[in-house]
Amino acid sequence: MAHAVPAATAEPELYGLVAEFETPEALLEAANAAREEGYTKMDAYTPFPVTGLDEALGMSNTRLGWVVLIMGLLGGASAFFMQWFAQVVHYPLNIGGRPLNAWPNYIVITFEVTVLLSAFTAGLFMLARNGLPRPYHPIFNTPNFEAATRDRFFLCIEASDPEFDLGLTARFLEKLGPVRVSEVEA
Amino acid sequence: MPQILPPNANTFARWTIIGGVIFVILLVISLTAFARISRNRVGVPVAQPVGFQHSLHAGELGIDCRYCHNVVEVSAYSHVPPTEVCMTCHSQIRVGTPQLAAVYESWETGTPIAWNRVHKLADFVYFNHSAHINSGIGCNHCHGRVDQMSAIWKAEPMTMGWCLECHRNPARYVRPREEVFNLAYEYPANQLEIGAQLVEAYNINADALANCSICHR
Repeated sequence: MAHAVPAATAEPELYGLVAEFETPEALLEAANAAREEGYTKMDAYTPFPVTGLDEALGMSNTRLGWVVLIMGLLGGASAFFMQWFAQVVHYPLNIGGRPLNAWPNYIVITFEVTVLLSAFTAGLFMLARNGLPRPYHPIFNTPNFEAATRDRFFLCIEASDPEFDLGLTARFLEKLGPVRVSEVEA
Repeated sequence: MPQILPPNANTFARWTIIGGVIFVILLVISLTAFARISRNRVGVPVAQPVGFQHSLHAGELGIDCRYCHNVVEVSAYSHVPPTEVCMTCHSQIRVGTPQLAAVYESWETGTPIAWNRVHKLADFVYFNHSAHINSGIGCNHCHGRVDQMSAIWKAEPMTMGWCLECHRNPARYVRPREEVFNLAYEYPANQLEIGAQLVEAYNINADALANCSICHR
């Protein structure tokens, strides 16, 4: 969406330039260099989480934690309210001689619903924000990209980046010591 | 291995998710709507072996409910009248009409008429007619305007939620005892006031009415 092209264009649109590295250290160095160079629209693809990569890419903290916290509190509050409403307001029953608002008994379900809603929020918000499931992605057009889930590390500078220039960016990436740099079509 | 799936796979994936959510929402909406429409067969007339018309007997002729359902004030179970009750009049009136054939057959053979029951409660629900009649709950409150029904149908769903509506707040529905068999009775504007006095007068223990043992004994 960010890099939409007029429908009449016959030339295949460029998604970005991708550099392939052999080690996570090399990728980390390259990402740091790219950030210092002023690139913002870039992403790295690795087989496993590389510590420090999010800072190297200039990614801000995710809001997932706050959303989970809010939904968890909401879940706990609604679970407590549900039990209180059923026992005290809607159908008060004398069960085992307990007081109607026997709040210690509500805690177990309150806790469990808190966990349930937090977990659902964490999973679904993660999927909603990162756009998964996404079976087709331009980055898959990269040569040898299947190694990204095994033993290779990729850095992509996207064509939509304001600093992006096909020649300059390619030369910049070549200097970082990659296995290869490829132009990737959208 | 570049792309395994074509670009429209993204659209497919997105619409599968959206479609799934829409499907679940529609399912919930339609099931609740169905439950609400069917309302436990409210308003559906039930066929009977004899085309007995309450609208004629109770409506036009003005026979009191208790002429036929004569134990309703004293018994838990308000019965369907036996053939003998029909024959108190129909041994003389309209003898030989085809509509009454099943009644005469029953009279001659001694086999009861196989009436089809309309208001069926589960056997684990103990309903007591006399308790309600003597506490000022009128016939038409639960059974509707029977004097206007040519065939009998349920006027109310007879579900537990419907029962509890009154058991939780009887003052809204209790009427004077002498008006119980008046099917045309309408609740006055100050029903809550009058109802509260009647609840007091009839010794109705409103606090205990929603307990399990009241019905499921």
